[in-house]
Amino acid sequence: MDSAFLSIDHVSVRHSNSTAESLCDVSFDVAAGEVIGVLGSSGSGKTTLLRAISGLQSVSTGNVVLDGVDITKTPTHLRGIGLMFQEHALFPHLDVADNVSFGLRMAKMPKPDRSERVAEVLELVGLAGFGSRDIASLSGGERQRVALARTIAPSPLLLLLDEPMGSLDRVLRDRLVSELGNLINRLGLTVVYVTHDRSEAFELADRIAVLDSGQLVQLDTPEILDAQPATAHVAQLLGHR
Amino acid sequence: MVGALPLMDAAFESRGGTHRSSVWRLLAATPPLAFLGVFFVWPVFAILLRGLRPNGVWNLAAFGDVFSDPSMRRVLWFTLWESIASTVLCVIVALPAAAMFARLRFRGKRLLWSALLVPFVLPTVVVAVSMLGVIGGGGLAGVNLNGTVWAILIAHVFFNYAVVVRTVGATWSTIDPRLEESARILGAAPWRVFADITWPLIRSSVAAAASIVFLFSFTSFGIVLILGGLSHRTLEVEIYDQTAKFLHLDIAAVLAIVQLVVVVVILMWFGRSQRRRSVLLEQRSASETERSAETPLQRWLIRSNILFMAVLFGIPLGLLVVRSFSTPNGWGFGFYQALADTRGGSTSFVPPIDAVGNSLLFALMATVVALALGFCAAWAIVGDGSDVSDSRFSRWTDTALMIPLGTSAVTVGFGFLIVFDEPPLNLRSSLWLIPIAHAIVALPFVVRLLVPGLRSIDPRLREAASMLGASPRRVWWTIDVPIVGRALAAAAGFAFAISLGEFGATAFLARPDRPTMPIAIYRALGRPGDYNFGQAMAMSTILMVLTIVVITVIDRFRPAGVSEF
Amino acid sequence: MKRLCVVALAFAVLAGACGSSGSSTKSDAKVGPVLVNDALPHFDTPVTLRVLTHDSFAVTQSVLDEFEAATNIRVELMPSGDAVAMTNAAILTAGNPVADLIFGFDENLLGSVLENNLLQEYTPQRLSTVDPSYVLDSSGMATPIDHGDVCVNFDRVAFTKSATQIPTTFDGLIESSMMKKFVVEDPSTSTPGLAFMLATIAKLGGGDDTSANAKWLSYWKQLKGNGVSVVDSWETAYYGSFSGGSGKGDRPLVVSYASSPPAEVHDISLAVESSPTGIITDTCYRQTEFAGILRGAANPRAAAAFLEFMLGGSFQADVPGQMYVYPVVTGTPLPDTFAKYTPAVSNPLSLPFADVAANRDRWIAQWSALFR
Repeated sequence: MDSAFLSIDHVSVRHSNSTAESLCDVSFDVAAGEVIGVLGSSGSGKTTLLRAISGLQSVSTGNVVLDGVDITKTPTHLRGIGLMFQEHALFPHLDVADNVSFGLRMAKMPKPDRSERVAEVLELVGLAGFGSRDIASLSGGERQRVALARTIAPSPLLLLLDEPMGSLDRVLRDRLVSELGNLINRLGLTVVYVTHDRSEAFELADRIAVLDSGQLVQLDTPEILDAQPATAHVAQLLGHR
Repeated sequence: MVGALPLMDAAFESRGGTHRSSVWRLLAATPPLAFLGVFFVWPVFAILLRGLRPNGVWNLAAFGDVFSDPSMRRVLWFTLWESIASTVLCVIVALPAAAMFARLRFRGKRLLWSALLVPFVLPTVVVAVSMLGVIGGGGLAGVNLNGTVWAILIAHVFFNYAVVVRTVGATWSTIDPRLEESARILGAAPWRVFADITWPLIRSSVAAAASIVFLFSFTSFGIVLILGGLSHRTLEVEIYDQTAKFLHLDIAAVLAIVQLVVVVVILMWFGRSQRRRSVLLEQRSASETERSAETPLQRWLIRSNILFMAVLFGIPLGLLVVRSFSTPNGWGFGFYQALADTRGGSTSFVPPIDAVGNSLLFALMATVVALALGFCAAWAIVGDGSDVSDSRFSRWTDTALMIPLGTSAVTVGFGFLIVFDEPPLNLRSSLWLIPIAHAIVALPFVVRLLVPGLRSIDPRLREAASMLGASPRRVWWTIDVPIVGRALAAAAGFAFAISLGEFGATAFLARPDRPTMPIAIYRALGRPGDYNFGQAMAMSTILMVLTIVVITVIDRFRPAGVSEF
Repeated sequence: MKRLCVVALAFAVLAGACGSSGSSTKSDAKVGPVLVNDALPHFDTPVTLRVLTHDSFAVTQSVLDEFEAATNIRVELMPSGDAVAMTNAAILTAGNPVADLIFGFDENLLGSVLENNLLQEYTPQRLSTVDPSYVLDSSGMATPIDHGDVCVNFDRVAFTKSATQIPTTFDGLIESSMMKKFVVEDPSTSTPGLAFMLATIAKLGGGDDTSANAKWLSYWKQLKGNGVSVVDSWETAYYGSFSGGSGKGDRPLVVSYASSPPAEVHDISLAVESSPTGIITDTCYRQTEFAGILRGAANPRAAAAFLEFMLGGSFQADVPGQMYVYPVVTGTPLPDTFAKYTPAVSNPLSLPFADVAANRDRWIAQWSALFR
């Protein structure tokens, strides 16, 4: 693909304390509007990859290029990337609307536009009218939607999702995954989606990257991946015997 | 196509630096350290130099004089063991109260929590005269402890009880009680729950409080002079005498250095037991962690704590209040009326409203300065929670901030006189002296209360804010500040109380005459007669009431929404 | 980076410390006469005068206002601790003082004030009205302003109740009937405490004796044997231990001032014999308080005007009611309560200030060796 929107170029991450996961010379490109699923067992470097893209983790070597700009040295808050955390990390001292509008405030959007955008995004995730609710009063599924709303509200160039369904039960998860898929399609978002769940990845992703011990072992469409797993580990991860 | 709305395009700019976080921490540490450098290190350094290098020539003979003097060694030994004993005693009696405030719901809790700070703000001599009415010759207790070490220990507990209860209690109340409950369900006896679950979680805050109690006891001055009799002298008393009484700056310098060394050693030792909490605890709100007393043990805990406080605080403070109403013409408001009357328009006369106004103004200034600097320092100490490598930097910063508490006020005060004598820093006679001195004392309290609060913030919240476009400064303002609101309120309370009650540090400095309440109390008490004594008691009672009101207001202050998590 | 900052900070501190040490010495010439036709001078442009005082300084506001109106001088009072701490703070800043005038050092401090070249010379024109017995400094630096007497006070009510004779002499205090009845202040921490120790030296002698058997020390040994209580300060002694008047303690004898008994009387019609407390005149030790113009003062002439004011009639008459001390200008009228409830102390004890300056530390050490 020659029109790479996001380009991960020989990125390595080494941690000072050796126990944490790291990345080893990972390279791949993502096209605009593409959804990349990142699969891997725990400790494979999935989360580190997201943190490296978002700037929460500085890379040891290599470059991250977004929309033609090398953002390797850009501070996190200036990258214009959205990240949805595994545990949502909703601000406990703010209500739903203030959580969602946080990024808009940081971008200095005028107040009337802000409330309009918050209402629009809450509507989008199916939480219309939840604005004044306290975070503590929300159910698990509602929190997940607030987190999603907060992440997409500032219209990030790139959306990173770190096991967004991790803490939800199966039934809810299935429903939310399909809703999320619809949303991503409607908004035409470029997404890197980390999960350890094969079905999620297969349902949402255009292509799937498989990480093992910090290395990128395969990057292909779900169909090819399913048909021709590159290694035994990939096959095992996909549930093949 | 809403997707790639380039809302943040303009924000793209390259700012180098993989060590972003440590640069920010250094920046944050600069204002408090510079403040201490100018207002503490410099004056102390200058006065020590004046003592040891009087005319440009080093004169170290005083070291020999001091170390060969057995009475000085006795003073040092007594100071050490007295302060360790006071600290241990204070922690032992205060922990049950911390548990009560953290875990149990009872009537009058909020008021009592605020009232705890009253002993902390009262001038030493007022408390001492009241205590003599209880444990002195012919006192209510019927046993004369005056001049014994017991009187000193009791007074130290009296003054420092609130430090332990409020510091530990605040931390304890944020610990999820379900941790303790599940340990109970798993078969642990109550003491095992305490030893294996609670203690490890509160230990760092106990160490933080204990080190402050230690420093206050180590530098105890008024209590030792008044209640300790002639045979008990602390290093602080000795330094005061050598400096302010005899102007033996060389001996004073040696003693001050000894004091400094001991304080640093002890602080490092405390620092070790205060290493960062390895587990991240989710903070709970008070309403979530409170239980009403249901078991006999819990009811007993409440009753025994209340009884203890009634005896330790109720009796001497009650005596003080009673005396403020007991005029030569019977019970009444005579002394309070005397406060309002102009007494011949004397310059020494302080209209109570002025004293209250001055006290509140200075306290407000000191609190603002201490909170601003304390927050920077706490933030620098904690960092963003991502790297452990800088913990040595944290420990040193923390220790540096504590040292002023363990340093003789007269050393700093006389240092002020000789360094701030030239413009632009001709502060010797500035009104700023008072809030600056108070802020130095309050700073370690603020830092010690804020650090655990900041550490308990899930770092992912900061990361989330950062991902949403908040710069580090805005992360601090929008995440850290509101979430540590509770700790911030507690810190503000302490800073305010310290300033309201502070007397020693500024008493002997030349200052334009804006008397605070403690100064007004001392002035009245420095003269004979029922009306002077009565007015001192009346002013002390007003100070007590004012403290309770102000602290209650501060305690109730919560940034919007914080009470709900 | 970190280390660099620390080093930079240290340098900044050092530079500051060095910069301040070479302070300029201002004029310390003798101040000429300031009175105009025996009246206070009027300054054409407003002047601010800073007066360094101890914490007990007080004057009636209207009296001070008169001075300010007459002279166009604005007075800024700067209380700074007790007399000893105030004096030593001034010595530490000698030549570059925080104020123009210092008030409140007594003869026990006079020696070190002169020795440290703290003051500049000014002989008030009104000094001629002062009782010459108070003019201790012949160099014209320190001007006497007021005097007080430190005396043993007794609780009349307690003695009447127990039907015991009130002691009248030093010897009376060591009689067995006075067992555990007397409280004194520590001479090393308290001004009246020091005065009482000096009183014993003046009365009993042995000030030259460096041994533990000096006459005055033997007296203290007997006091100790008789259960004397030693406390840190006047406040603790008077309010915490003394039983008389407003005291809340249980001892009927205390070292206080000759001016204390009038303060215990609320009703001027009360008979002297039934006033709550009184003094033992034989034990009284004279204390004189001085003022002087600080060397390096910004406004020496304004300071001189204030000195003249302090020797003027209105200030002198104001002194007893405000500071519980007595005027030094002969013929100044006393308030009624003072005249009535304190007997005149005709022959107070005293020691030459040079002796006190030379021996004070040793005497305190000898005393401390006995009591610690």
